[in-house]
Amino acid sequence: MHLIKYTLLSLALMLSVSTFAQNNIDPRRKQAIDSLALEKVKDLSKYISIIGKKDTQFSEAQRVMDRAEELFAEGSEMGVSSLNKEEVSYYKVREYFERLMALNYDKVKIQWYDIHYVSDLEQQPDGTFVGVITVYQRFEGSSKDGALEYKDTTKKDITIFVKRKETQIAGRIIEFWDVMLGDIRVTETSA
Amino acid sequence: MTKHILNISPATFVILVALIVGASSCKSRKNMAQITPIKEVEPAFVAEVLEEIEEVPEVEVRVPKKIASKEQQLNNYFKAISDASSTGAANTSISEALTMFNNPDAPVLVVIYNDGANPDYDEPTTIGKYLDYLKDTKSQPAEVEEVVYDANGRIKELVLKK
Repeated sequence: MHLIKYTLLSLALMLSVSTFAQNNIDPRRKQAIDSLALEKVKDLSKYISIIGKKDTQFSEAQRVMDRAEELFAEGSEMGVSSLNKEEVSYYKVREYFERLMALNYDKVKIQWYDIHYVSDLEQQPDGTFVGVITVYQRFEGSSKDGALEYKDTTKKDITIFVKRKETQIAGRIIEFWDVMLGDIRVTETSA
Repeated sequence: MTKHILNISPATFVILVALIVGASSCKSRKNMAQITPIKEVEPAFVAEVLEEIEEVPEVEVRVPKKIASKEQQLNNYFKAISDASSTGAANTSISEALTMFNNPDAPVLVVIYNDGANPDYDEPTTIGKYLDYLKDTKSQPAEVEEVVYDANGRIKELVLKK
């Protein structure tokens, strides 16, 4: 009876120590991970801007779409809203980029700003960090003569996943932080 | 047998010593006389030396320009790509930078944090993708931290630090 009691107690102790160690990440390392994830979102904003610009060469746009798509977890979707309709549409990220490139304006300008965490990256039991970053998007579609045909401001929330992974480089194992963007959901749309 | 000891009187001894000392001083006075006085030598010697100095032709001294290390060259290319005013200008710098590497797929590791024991890396990429990344995002380039060369002096692996 005592043996069972002590065994259970030891197991509980080992489990709690391991959990504590997992959650007890060096604050400076955590800050570096936070910055890394934020930077990926800022990179995405630049890619979207390049894809949307009408003077971007087709081959360059394709290359940038590939890079942008690599930022996302498989199956992630992008929300698209309009002042002209109530419902928000969701597209797989590659489809969103294709549609963005094909927009029927002579000039498209997309800018993301005020990019910040609304929910800090927190480590889950499986070791993955999950958080939410919000962005404000300014969209302007103009005609050839520069007349503004459509503009809106959208607030979007992006789910962020950061996981420790490993790969092999030149025969040695390299561990790295893999930042993956999840769904991008529209929360507000205004003129 | 009786010992025959040379008996010299004190007076005789003193005279002998005086004679020896006198003879040696004469010799040294003679040697001294053979040395040219310094005052006479100096001006002639100096004039000779000055003549020699005047005859020496001026030598052009060239200070070699500071040659940038390969690491510095790489940092310069990164900055040029990131700051490029056009896609064309960026692509030109990218092409030039790639000549330093053995392969556009040469691996690039970017350190995001280092606690001194184990560095933390961003997802590994390739030099081709990294240079395009700088062109697309115009981000502040990471600094070169470590370069691994192949047998031909081309870069085969690169470690950068944010």
